Amino acid sequence: MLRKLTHNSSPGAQGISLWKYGFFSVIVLCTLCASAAVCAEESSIEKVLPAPRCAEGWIMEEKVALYSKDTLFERINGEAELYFPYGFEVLASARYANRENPQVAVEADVYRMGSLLDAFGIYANYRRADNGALKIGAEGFVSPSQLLFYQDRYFVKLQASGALSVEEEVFLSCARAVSQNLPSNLSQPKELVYFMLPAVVQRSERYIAQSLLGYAFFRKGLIADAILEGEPLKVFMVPEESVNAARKAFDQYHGYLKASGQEVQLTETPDMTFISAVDPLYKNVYIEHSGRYLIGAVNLKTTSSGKQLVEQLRKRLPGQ
Amino acid sequence: MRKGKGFSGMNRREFLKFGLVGTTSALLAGNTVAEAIGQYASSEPFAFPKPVYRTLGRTGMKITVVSFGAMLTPEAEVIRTAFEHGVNYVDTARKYMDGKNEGIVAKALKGRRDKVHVATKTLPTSRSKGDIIRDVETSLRTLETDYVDIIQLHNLTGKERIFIPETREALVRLREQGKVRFFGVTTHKNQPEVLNALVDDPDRFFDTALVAYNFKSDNDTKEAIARAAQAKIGIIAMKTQAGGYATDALGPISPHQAALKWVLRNTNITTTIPGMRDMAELREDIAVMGMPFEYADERILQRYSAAVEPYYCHFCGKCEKTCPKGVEISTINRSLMYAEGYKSHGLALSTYREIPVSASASACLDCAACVARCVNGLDIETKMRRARKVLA
Repeated sequence: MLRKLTHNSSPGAQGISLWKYGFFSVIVLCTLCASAAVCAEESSIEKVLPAPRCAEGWIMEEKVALYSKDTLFERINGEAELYFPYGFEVLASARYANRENPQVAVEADVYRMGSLLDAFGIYANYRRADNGALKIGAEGFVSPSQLLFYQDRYFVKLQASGALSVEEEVFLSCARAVSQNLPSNLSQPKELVYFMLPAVVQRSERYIAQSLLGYAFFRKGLIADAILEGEPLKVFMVPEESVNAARKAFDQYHGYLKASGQEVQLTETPDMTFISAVDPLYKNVYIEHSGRYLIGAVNLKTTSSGKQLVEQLRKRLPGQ
Repeated sequence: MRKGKGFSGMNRREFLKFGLVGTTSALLAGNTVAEAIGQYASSEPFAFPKPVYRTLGRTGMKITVVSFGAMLTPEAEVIRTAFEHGVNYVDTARKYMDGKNEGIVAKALKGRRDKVHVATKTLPTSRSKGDIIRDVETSLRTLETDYVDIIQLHNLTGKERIFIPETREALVRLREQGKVRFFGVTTHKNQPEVLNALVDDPDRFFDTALVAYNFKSDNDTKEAIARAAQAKIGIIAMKTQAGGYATDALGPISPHQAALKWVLRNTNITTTIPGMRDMAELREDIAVMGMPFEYADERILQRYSAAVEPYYCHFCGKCEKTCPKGVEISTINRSLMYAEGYKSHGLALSTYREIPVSASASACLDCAACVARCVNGLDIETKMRRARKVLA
């Protein structure tokens, strides 16, 4: 494009000075680059998968297969539904066969999700607290049969196929090759910082994109395991779009507890609104409404024992 | 709820949101509407119905007609609540959440294993004796149980896997060891072929089949289900709500119950396993037990079908054979679905751009009138015109 502008000067263009050409070229290039970036983001997920190999001796078979929302079932069966609340957009999938033993392969799946938080959310569905963290992308973990990580809004799954295990170095090599082709944002969702509390079990955080705690009125939120005085419990946070929306969810929960015939104590002061109650599913609970958040703890030894932990979490939230 | 959810991949909650506004209210009046609205408000009091059971083919297991598809459930407490109210069959898989889902089911089963029938699935890639045995033993450890009631071969797309000797050998050995009681298969694709092969198998090796079945299912599938049920193969239905477009219009009436009742009207189906993420979905689904399929349900499904029909392309591709220009009609329709159904214009454009210009909707401009025909009556000319406007 630049060459065309420079060398095919039409008579009408001859009067335009060189700096104007340059300026115009820069504008055109910037526009093209910006458009290309958007297009690349939307259309080139298959290029994320390295070709022709992801590690020395592991060669891509055939070409990258793409799966959309209506074909994801073909790849992962009913599990597809798990991905939809997390804003699943597209899956690129490839099989890298071992050159010496083509029966053995690494199957690489790269899912583009709705956001970084969504990618973390789907990743955390597979992560166990006892999986050691791997420094790949924002975070990952590896086992003899698979390596999983997330980076930016991408969730990556590498799976051994045709054998119970693949050498860890092969997984790592493939993971690094994929990671290099993804957006360079290696940060974790900012929401995870809120849960950095002494009582919270590290790497137990999950983002539930629909119906936190199994209640539809808690539309989505983060939850983590915690240990308080030797007792396991769960601490959670529901971010809402507005103070009113948070209050509505809080009231629905209050209504649900009352309708369930459970012991409920609602406290409203100018500074604080909270419920101490016995939940039908989670025994003793403590939950606060604070700004556009609901913050709570469940499975408590007593209804008041989670108050301090919830307060710690609240203080870490923005605007609290 | 995010925008842009999927059609066949759409989950049930979105199905509830489908725009039946103005249709259901015309269907059902006054108190019925109020009751229906109240029924879905999860904070309202709710009385769990008395469980209704059917016998699962030759297994002889009596299971609730609404059972629990655990795949989507992150909290064991929701599953446990279902068990506490009589649901006695749960379906999971080795693959779901890489086995974590079986762990969630294990928590829900604590203290009530003897009251609940458990079905899980081997990995879809498992074929060999070693693979199958490894999968089942891993499942048993994760489920914290000594046996599973039904072990299913996951995601059969044809009849071939039914007859793999090594697979059968592994299953028989597991049954002899008391680790599994019955054998099953699951299928989404080529279902009649899979079901008929189960019946025609001289050994009648498999006891159950988990199939996608809903009010949109074709006759071949219905007939194959009937034939399998006649042969005492237990039929379990999944994907009972058929999918549909997400829209911004919220209807207070759920077509899901109607869809579930429609499935259960077929007595060849023993049970359904809707995925239930939360208490609201559990209440909604479990309430169907004992409910008859009524005129109002039929109307709801008719209206729902009519509402989706202008958009509902089955992507069968049969129309493409009738187009002299070779237009890739089903891909164009899929692009339109992304734009209008999922509200994902980026995905729509990227899909549309994959089509060569000569096979895009622009190629239709060369024809005075559209001769392509859809076997389901979709107005292809209008769809292509719409594609040119939205995607060009």
